[in-house]
Amino acid sequence: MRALALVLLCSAAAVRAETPVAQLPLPCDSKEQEIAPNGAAVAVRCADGTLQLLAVPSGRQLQHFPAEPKRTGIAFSPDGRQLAIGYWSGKVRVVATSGEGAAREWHASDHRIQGLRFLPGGELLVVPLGRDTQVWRLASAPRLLASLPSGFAEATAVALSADGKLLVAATGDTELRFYDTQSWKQVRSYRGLVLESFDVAFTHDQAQLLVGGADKQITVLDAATGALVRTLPRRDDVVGQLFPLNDGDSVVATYFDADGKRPPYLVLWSLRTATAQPLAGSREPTFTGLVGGELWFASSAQGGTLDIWKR
Amino acid sequence: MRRPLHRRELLENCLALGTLTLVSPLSMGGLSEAWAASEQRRTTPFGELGPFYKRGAPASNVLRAEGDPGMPLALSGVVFGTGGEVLVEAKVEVWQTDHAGHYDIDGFRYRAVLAADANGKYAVDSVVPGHYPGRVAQHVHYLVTAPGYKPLTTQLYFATDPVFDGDPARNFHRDPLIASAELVRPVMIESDPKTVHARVQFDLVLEKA
Repeated sequence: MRALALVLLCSAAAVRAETPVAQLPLPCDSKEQEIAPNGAAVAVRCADGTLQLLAVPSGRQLQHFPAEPKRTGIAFSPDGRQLAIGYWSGKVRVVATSGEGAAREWHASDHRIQGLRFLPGGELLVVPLGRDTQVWRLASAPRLLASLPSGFAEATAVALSADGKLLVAATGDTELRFYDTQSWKQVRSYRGLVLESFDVAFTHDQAQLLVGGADKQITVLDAATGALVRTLPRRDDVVGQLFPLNDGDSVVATYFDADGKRPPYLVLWSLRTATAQPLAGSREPTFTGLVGGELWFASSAQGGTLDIWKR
Repeated sequence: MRRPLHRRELLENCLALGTLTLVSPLSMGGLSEAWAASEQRRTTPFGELGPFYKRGAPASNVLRAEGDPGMPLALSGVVFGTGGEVLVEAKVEVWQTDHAGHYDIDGFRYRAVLAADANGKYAVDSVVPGHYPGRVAQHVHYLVTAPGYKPLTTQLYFATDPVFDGDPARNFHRDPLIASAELVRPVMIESDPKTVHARVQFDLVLEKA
């Protein structure tokens, strides 16, 4: 009994472990940020509509983007050196995070750019549009590689396997579409979901695909066949993001209340045991991201400063 | 140079200016006929699908259960092609929040798939939706499909929504997701000795595939 209590205490301590990374002065009122995957920069969405790119840990301003033209999405490249910005007008702009060098800019659509995602390697940028998902190769002159049909609604999340051969897109029509990236043909689909998915991610060993969304649960699929493996127990709230960790077993999920009445929170799942532990931080996180395989959080809830820590 | 307004556009603009109108049901019918007389139609503007679309909604034109709070809403319209043809095989899927601004994602409350009738008409009984947190304006989601036509996702907004301050043509941008004032529809408030209810007509126009 005493041994069990000790194990539980140690587990709780491990879950609560927090290591400070940086504390930056915030240049504006901000409740939303995004960390670059290399941990060297953070994009701060200001309440006045501007976007500020700050160096971590110094807090030095790297770039400033005005409120107009109106942005509708941003994404860092996997190495953190590029930032893609989507605009309401359908324009896409890719800049070096450092601010050096010329920006690449093109008009992808007449439709607003809802979300952007770099694929591993950073050479390909996925641009979800109204009824298709565009894949662009980023060179000095960006080139459209493929336009993937996405039913009656745009892609809400995409994931690329580590070997770059398989692209999976979750679309608003609740279908998951699997594409061969050599031919850009759809090779299979999964239609077992009835609500939208907000994130898809391959597990660290690439064997499984994790899907989370409005159905309040994490669905585990076989990545090679697209067949259902299992669903993890449903919770009361919607799954927003999924972060599979390097240990091959753990995945951190962000959950949010669909009615917007409660703050978002994090849960650490074990895929092997299908058990969950709330990640009880001392502060309400305003971003969560993976940096070098570690989970980073930040909070601007205190006002005036951005506290970044990792577990 | 400004192009002249077509009759249908003029009628729509006039209606959009009147945010709360007491009329008899016959007036709506007359207006509907006037709109139908126009031949060429513009595709209904796009509206975002999500994020709470749910596949598998039931085929029912009564979303409002006995005792549901909120103002009863009679929603109807005709589905056309851009050539003015009536699309009798159209399917109109609608979903919305309840009176309190809550989407049912566990079940199918306030979600339905409606089949257009022989005149391309759809109709559904619901309640005026509440304000969903995170969205500025009250709205009803639509997904409209018909064989040979491109699917349409759009949203209907209510000219009576306080966010428009009585002038939806000028203020529709207050909700950044509203692509066009055309999607903000006039609301007819009707009453009988027992109830007061809202009536909204929203015709839908699909583009050929």
